[in-house]
Amino acid sequence: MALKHIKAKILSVKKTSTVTRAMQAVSAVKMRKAQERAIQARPYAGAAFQILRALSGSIEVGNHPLTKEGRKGKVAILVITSDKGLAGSFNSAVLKKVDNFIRGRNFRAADLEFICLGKRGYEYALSRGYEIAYHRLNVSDDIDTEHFREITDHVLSEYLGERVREMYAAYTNFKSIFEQHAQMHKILPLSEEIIKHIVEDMEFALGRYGKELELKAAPAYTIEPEAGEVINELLPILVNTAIYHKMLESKASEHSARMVAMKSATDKAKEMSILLTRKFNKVRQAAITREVSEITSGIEAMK
Amino acid sequence: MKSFHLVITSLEGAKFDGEAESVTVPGSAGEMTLLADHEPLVSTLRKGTIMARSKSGEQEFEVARGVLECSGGNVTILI
Repeated sequence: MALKHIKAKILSVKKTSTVTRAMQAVSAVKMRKAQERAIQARPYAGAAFQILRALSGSIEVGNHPLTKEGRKGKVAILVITSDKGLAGSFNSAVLKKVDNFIRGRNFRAADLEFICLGKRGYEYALSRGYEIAYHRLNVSDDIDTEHFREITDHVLSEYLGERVREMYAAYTNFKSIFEQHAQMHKILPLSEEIIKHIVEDMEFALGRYGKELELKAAPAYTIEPEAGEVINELLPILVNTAIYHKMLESKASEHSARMVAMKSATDKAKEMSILLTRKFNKVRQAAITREVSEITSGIEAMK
Repeated sequence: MKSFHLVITSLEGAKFDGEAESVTVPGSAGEMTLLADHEPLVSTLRKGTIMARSKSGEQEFEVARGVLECSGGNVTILI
């Protein structure tokens, strides 16, 4: 390879590493932000759970459409993925989970419908010809809660429309920067277990940061305007909290996966630039040696 | 005036967390004002404004929907 080519290549590798290093730094900041938002949502989830628990003594929670078992219809899968790539195996892990779930239960395409948050999951469902009931791409990292509630309302209306019997969520659980797990959980109908799981999941993920969630003993409440309406308000709040939290977990995981991927890209670029520089020096030295020997042999000939 | 612990929280974190003397909320059965030592109460909220009064003054919060819970001298509002 000519000297000029090697030089150009070294330059381009160095430029690439600058970009990947910048992306790594940006991902680190975004990851921290997603984590912080997840922590901020925690007291809210705790309070909602507390109210529901207090009420479950005085009224029948099990008859609400969101909690009733034994419905008929399709199985809905809520897939939370990222919109962009360059995040290692982040998306493929979630989609593999979905694949295994479908195969494990022997579902046919007609039994399923998809709700997709994020482009990768949407493309997955599209390419396999699954029915997509609702999708939302490019959900902003700092989406405000009102807009997020709109997403949840879409998801809920899909469920309450009597076409769906169960809903599962596939997302990525954030454990640490180096450890994220793709997971698949049932989220509807809401059972006592699922509700507990929602709250515990948040507690587990954030246990090191926030203060402990304490559950007070339930007093006898006056309920206004009536119990049914309070439940109608409260259960969607819990579903909203669950989906919101799963999205934040996925966001934090996405950014940390990208951060790690970009770190190894930066390292690889550094290694490559060292190897290329070595090669450059060798070729240059060879050229110098050749020139020197040409000159000396010229002098020899003139003698 | 006797005060109570008021928490107004959304998914984005606490909007208000501290001592208040009274809070006026747009309950779905009509506007109501809660003072300290209110009986245990759970109510849904409709669109409107929450007004929290404390020693340091009044604070307003917009609310689109929400749930209020009052027990043991604490008031928690989810918006």
